[in-house]
Amino acid sequence: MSEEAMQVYSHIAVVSAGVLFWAGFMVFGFIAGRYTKVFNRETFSGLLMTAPSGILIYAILMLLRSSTMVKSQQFNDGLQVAAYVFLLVSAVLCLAGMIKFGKLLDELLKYKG
Amino acid sequence: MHGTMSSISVAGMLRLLCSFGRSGELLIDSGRIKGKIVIDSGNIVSATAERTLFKTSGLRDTVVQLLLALEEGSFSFIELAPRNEKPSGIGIEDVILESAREIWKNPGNSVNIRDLIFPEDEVLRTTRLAAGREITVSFQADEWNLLAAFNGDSDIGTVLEDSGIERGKAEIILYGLTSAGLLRRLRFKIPELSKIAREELGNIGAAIVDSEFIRQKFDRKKMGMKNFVSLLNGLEASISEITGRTRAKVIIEKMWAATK
Repeated sequence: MSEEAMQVYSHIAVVSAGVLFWAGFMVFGFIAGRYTKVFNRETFSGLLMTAPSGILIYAILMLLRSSTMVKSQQFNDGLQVAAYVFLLVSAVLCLAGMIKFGKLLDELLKYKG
Repeated sequence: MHGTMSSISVAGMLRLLCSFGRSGELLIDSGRIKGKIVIDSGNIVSATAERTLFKTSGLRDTVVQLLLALEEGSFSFIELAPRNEKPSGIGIEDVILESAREIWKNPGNSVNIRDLIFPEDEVLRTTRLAAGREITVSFQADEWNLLAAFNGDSDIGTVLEDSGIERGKAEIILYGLTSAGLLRRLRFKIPELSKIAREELGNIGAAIVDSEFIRQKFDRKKMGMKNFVSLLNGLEASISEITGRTRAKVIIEKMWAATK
């Protein structure tokens, strides 16, 4: 397999992974939203649905960085830093949302009435 | 026919015999009270008492005293051929209510009617009279008000609590009204929703039920049928959100089944 084909496949894999991550957290967000509705308790469902967008942005920025459209090395470095920052922020927010939702689930499972 | 007083009250049995137009002698023996009531074609025609709690004077009073036989004991009915005797004019419903009044007028007799009234989660409503049937009953204010409060919506516990009548007295009046056949049980009772939900969904199920009570602002001890229906609709929506419609329907059907 040529270097170029490898790069195309990696880009496809990065974007697909980003989209799947995002879709997975969207589903979590929807489920958490239902719990918010039923139990009238905050689950950060909105955050769970929006935070994974950072993963998508990361994928897009990494694509841009490796594309031939951007010639400047400095700009490329900036794109890479921004991509990783988005990924980190997104991961932190997703974790926060999951912890909040997990706490509610834990409370419900231990609920004695 | 033979029965024990733990399974049915003498008053309830006498009313049934009268309403079916039977003829014969109802023999009562509870230890402290012993005697017989003679009915002919569903009408009380005579009564004799060997032992009663209080001195009796006249037929009506004797029947009232014999109906106070609520303790452990037995009764039997000896069926006889109708003799077409002249009815005494004593209304069975009226005499049962009078016997209930005797219970709360004389609390020292420690007559326990708890086992003879329906559980608190049952729902009662006023009985409809069959076409052509007439009854003559004298009501006291509390009796009438309690009778009117049973509208088929709220359960017994709620009606008794809201009646403003002292609990012990209210229960005795209820015993009188049900024994006299003036109230009938609906095929409906408020089930233990949390228990059913917990059995089906674990602790989350109980949490869903409690959340729905809070959302609808219902007091679970004072819930009528309308509130209950609204609550079940809310529960179906909530359970659907968590488990999906199919599972929610199954659980709600179980809750409905528990009302019967």
